[in-house]
Amino acid sequence: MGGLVCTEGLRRRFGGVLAVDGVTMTVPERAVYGFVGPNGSGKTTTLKMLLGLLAPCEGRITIAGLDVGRERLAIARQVGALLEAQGFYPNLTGAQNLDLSRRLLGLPATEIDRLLELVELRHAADRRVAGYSLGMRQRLGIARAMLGAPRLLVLDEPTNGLDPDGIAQMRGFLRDLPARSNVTVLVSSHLLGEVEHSATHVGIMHGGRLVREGALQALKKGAARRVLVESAAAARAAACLSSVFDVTAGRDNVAIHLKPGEDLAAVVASISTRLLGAALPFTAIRECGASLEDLYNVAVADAVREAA
Amino acid sequence: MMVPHLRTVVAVEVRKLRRSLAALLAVAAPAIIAVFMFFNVVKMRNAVPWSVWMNNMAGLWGAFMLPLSITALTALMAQMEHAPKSWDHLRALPVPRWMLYAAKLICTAVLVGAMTVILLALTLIAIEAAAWIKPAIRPGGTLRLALVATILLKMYGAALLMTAIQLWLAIRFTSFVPAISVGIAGAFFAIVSNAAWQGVFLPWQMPINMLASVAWRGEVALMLGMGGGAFASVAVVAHLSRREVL
Repeated sequence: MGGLVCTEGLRRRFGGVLAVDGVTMTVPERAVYGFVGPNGSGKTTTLKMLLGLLAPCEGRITIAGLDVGRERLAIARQVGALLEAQGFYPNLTGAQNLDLSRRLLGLPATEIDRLLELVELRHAADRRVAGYSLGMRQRLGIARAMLGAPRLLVLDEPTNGLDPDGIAQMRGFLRDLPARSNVTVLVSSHLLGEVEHSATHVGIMHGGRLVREGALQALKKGAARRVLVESAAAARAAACLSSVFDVTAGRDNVAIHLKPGEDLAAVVASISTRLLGAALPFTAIRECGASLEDLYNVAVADAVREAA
Repeated sequence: MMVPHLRTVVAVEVRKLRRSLAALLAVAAPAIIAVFMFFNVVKMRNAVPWSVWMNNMAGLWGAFMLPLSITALTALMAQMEHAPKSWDHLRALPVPRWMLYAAKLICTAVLVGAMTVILLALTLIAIEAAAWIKPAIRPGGTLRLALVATILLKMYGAALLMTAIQLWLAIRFTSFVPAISVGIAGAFFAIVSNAAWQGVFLPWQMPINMLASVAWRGEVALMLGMGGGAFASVAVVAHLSRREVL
């Protein structure tokens, strides 16, 4: 698979704040690329640069081989976007809202029915958007983003504010989208569990930097074995364990980096003995590397360590 | 690659007006003048010439209602995009950005023009209705409709600079407060500086100068309003389309 979206050394500064710091990412064609990271990590700024809404201070973006800075209009025809604020006109109905974008894209009127069917909103087509639930608005946003059969769908926090049913629906929808509509999906979220269920690839943002990227399964396989100790006294626990293990202290956890061939049971026993001996509280000791959350924690801890 | 025609973008802008406050204002503002005229006519004991009523209508419109309506209308047109945060969506579409702002400006200018037509129509209906209720006060003299329409048309032309400035403020700032504040202040100073010759250079006073007894005031105000409006429109569209929306 080639990269449909490629960025090189993207940098964006707002006054004195470096919001995006040297992001080089590749989104393979027909992937569901989960772009994860905490609020304020630079995800939305990066997405806005991809959409040509913000200009990078440094770096280059290509989508489908075209340069975003030079060929925005040609790229925009191939990209559909659902941004955090959906931007619907509450005085208009769902169908009328779609119709505005359809006219600007020069598409036939039949597209509206097709897309309302796709997102299961046909029954509410003639209701004013002011009366839509958040989940309905998100689905309408996806329908609007899919107008004109784009090659790339950019979704910024599509599960924000959705109830559990809505989240499950969205998850299934995103997972099936590449096969159903031959589209590449770039979805940003701070909900790691949700991304893990639908993404084939992930990019992890932290402090404006892309600290990990790749196929989710490959990242999970390649993750170094670590043991994570969850403790309210992480700093003191790290100090206690550092004489024996290679440790990284997080805010409320300590990551212990295992050596090749090291026996997990023996390490766990040693950790618990030392922490109990020093009367340091901990709530869990577990091996990590199996979930996206673990990958995320390790990636962030590594990034913090490298920065230090 | 297909790029939409400006006509399409303007048509989309017009469609956004359905059930909107901006559309309601476009009817309500001239209707207020018409209602006011109705009660003024109906309270009379003797007939008053058409020219007096038409002069009253144009004076009220040019001095108060037009500047305040443009202030409110431009704020509502901009809030239509600011409130649901739709600028990002619009700017991500394969539409040249200048077209988005030019369409907004054209649509606003067309609405102001429509308000002028509605004003004249509703005022005539209001005066006729008052005369029907009380035949003794039916206006005397000749109704010089072409002259009245010309004066209103000139007021519209003279208001173009004010329209461009107010729309720029309303779009530039997400909050409606700066645009509304400037509009109210502009209308206020336009009235208090009515006697001063410098007042003619104030965009908010330009429309009422179409009724000035001194010819040069009307000519200068019309020239500045239309010429400045055309120049300001180009500048506004250029500035907004180059700007990043955060």
